[in-house]
Amino acid sequence: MLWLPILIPALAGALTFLLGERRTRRRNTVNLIAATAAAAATLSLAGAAFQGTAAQASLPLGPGLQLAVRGDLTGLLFACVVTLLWGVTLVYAIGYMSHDRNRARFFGFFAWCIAAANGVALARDPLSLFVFYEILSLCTYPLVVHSGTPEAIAAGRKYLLYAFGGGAALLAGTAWLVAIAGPVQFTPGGALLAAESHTFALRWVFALMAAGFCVKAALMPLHGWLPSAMVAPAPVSSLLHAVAVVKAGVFGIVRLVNDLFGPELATSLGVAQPLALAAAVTIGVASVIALRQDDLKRRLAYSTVAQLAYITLGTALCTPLAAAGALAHLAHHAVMKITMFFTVGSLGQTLHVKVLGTMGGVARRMPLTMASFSVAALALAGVPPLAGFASKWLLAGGAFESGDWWALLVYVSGGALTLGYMVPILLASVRPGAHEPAERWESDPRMLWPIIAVALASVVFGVSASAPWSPARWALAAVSPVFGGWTP
Amino acid sequence: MTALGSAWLWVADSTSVLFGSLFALVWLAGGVHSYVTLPSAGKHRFFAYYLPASLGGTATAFAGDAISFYACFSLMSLASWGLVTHSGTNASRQAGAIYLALTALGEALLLAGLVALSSAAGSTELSAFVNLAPSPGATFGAALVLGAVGVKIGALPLIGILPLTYATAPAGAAAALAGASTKVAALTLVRLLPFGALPVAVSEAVMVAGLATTFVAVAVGLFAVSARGVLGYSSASQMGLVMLAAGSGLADSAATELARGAILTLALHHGFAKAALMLGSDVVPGLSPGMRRLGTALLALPALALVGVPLTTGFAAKYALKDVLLALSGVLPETVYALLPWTGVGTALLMLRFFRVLANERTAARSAAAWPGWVVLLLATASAAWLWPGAAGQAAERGMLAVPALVTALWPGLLAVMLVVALRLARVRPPRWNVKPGDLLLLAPLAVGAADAALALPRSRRPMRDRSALPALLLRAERVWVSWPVAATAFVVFVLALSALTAG
Repeated sequence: MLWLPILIPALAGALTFLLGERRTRRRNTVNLIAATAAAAATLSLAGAAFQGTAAQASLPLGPGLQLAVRGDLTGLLFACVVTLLWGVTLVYAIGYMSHDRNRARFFGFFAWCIAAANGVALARDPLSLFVFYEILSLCTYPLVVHSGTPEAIAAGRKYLLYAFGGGAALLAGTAWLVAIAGPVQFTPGGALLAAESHTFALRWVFALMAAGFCVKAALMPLHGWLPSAMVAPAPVSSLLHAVAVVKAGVFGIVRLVNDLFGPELATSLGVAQPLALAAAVTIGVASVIALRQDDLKRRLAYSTVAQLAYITLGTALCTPLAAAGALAHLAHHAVMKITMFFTVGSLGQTLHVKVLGTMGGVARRMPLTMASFSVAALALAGVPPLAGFASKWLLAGGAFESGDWWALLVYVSGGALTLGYMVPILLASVRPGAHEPAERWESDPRMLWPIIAVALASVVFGVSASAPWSPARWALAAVSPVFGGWTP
Repeated sequence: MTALGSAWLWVADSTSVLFGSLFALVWLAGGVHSYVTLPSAGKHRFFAYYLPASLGGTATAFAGDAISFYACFSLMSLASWGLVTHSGTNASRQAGAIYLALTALGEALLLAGLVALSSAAGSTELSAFVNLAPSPGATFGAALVLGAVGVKIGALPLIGILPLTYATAPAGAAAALAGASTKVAALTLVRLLPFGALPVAVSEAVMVAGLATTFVAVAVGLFAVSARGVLGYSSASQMGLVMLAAGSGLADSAATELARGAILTLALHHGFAKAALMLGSDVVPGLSPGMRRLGTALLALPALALVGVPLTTGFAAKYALKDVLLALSGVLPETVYALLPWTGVGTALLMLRFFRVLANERTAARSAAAWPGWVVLLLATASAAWLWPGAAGQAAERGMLAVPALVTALWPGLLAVMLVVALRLARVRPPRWNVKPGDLLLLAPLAVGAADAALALPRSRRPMRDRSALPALLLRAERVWVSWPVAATAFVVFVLALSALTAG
């Protein structure tokens, strides 16, 4: 059962390759059924985890080496985000790619990426996490270079080198860890009690592993690959560069701090503070750079860099509320940013609008699309009662509780800067321009409905933040064991 | 703090009823006025912003917890951007940009303050905030909230923000912004701040800032060139008094209740009076000469109230403020008490300036339907502080009608009139510095540009619009560090640095 969220997309990917380029209808059906099945499986696992039964399963790879998964609340939150948004993105991608070539390759690798991301989410120990993490890096490459232009190839090579650099650091850290602490499993609150005396080695392990994760989490100055990778098709930017891949990086940091070192050890070793500082600097610098981007996708990419640093900072603050806020933001940012990337992709595909300067009249031409974008933009800026506010409230509260009042100011000024780089997009779209109102559908309905759906999610997640099933509550429940059964 | 626990809690105590009635009536009157005076072309767009703003603005009065308070506050502030930029002119767009930047700043401060206060109080309920015990966390949170209020009401050095928005928004919206939106700042003070539990330094700083804002706004406003600009500076000056009242109650628990009462009375009185002046300044210039005299006479009522002439609501408000200061002892409160009548002189001068400027303004004739909203506000101005007896403060009721108090309240206005008459007789012409509404804030974009240009001097061959130095510097630095060799080195250095830092 636990393997299903990984196996279903993996099989769907294989089937997609077998069906080939021509059999479009059958390929789409297979993918959509797989997405539905994977979503059902992940949700039922989450239901079981809420009951308190965290199942595990393992698969021996060799002597002393096994691939192991476990369904805890933290991992399943990430898995649910990835799997549910996979279905939405599939519908969007089918519309977006309807005139593209090499679609079998695209959808096949896409499904494999989902499988790998779910593997990262559910991995029980650092080694399994590393394996899935590397598979994710490899499977993303064909998607980045999908268009085959020299620019895309260059971006792909850059991505690969960054990913391998990060992977090497992660491998070194993991190997060292196994050498000093033996085979460890992620345990809420920390798994390294036995090895606490190796302070020097542990600091190195933390530095190496954090550096490895920070590459994917696009923490400055290791973020260079992300804006370049924006040459990929919009569905790739949406799901992978806003949700699965970069989130795998921050998720790794969450696991590293909460479940491997534990907040206590991370604080006493003094390794959390430098990470928090790097994240704070990233929030400021990336937001200011985002202010100056004319290319819409690049603007969003820098916004992603800043928002990921929110999560990293929250985790590195090592207080319950901040940790919960970080996890909640992982889910909230996913729906908000995917709305924006969908919108920008839709603008590019329907109207060939790719930069801020040519956006005049877009709101008249595509009102529903831009309305959805506005909701997501305001949510990202933390306007209540939308999703971004709920996570920011928790993060800021956690920052205050930790006594790091500067972090509180970083969060709120990050919100103000978000308003600064989002509002120009909204204003540009309502300026007079050449576009006339559409006759019937403002764009391909297969692209329009997913946009509306994810925009609604960023409203629902915010409004229902205190409902028991909301991502915010889920995150609070997930970090509870990390802080010794803490309850809000 | 409870995490997202008690969101969407609404209360209806005497404070919310007082502020709720003020907000509802002012937003309603402004809305009716806009409905009958705006050309039908952009009307639906105007109300697409006006209705959410009025909803948010009115609902703040009833918000019982931090989250709903912040939600209503943001709804009002963000939607008001559409009112400021409604005319679509370049000036309004510039005003909108400045407004939005300051709003983003104010919201950030308010959010941080709310988070800090709810963490310190262990609850998101506002009733827990006002009863906070002294602690560094409470002081930090209160300081942030005071910063947010300062941005909202245009405390020094941001006094330009109110005149700037009033002068560019349509009259109905300007009335709502002046009468209701800025009073949300007064509500914020009463609802969020732990009166009596803050250090004396904070209290004194707020008093000084309030008093300075009051006087500087008058000084600048005397040179404003439009009627609504003058009213904007008058608002900034009056809101300075609100800050003064708040400051005097922050540290000393003896003055706490009096200070709250003074804030309520000041807000109520100034809200109605300023909204009435705003709408009147739109109706009166379009009247026929005969009617114009009647209109100007009617306008004198809220103007006299602002000056604090006896038997007006302003008199009650000023009296309540004096009561607070009398309850305190020390050099600063005594100095402030001595200076207080002079704020009345300043307000009187501003009002004379207002009528002077208004006499030269001409607008299109307004239909008779523009009268009711205005007249309702005039009636409210005349009666408000008397209809809410609690608002005037108990001590005020007792001593207010004694002869010495009446004389004390009269002389500032008379002095201002005599001053103007004397200047006329002596044929002294005041200097004609034409201050555009917004004053220093209009220079802000220029100053940013100049600082940027100064930083960018060595690279001045770039085209003008690329000269924004700081972002450009970051962009250039970024371009360098994402190039291959640098990125690889950075990566290694990052790992080493992280370990070096952690090894320490």
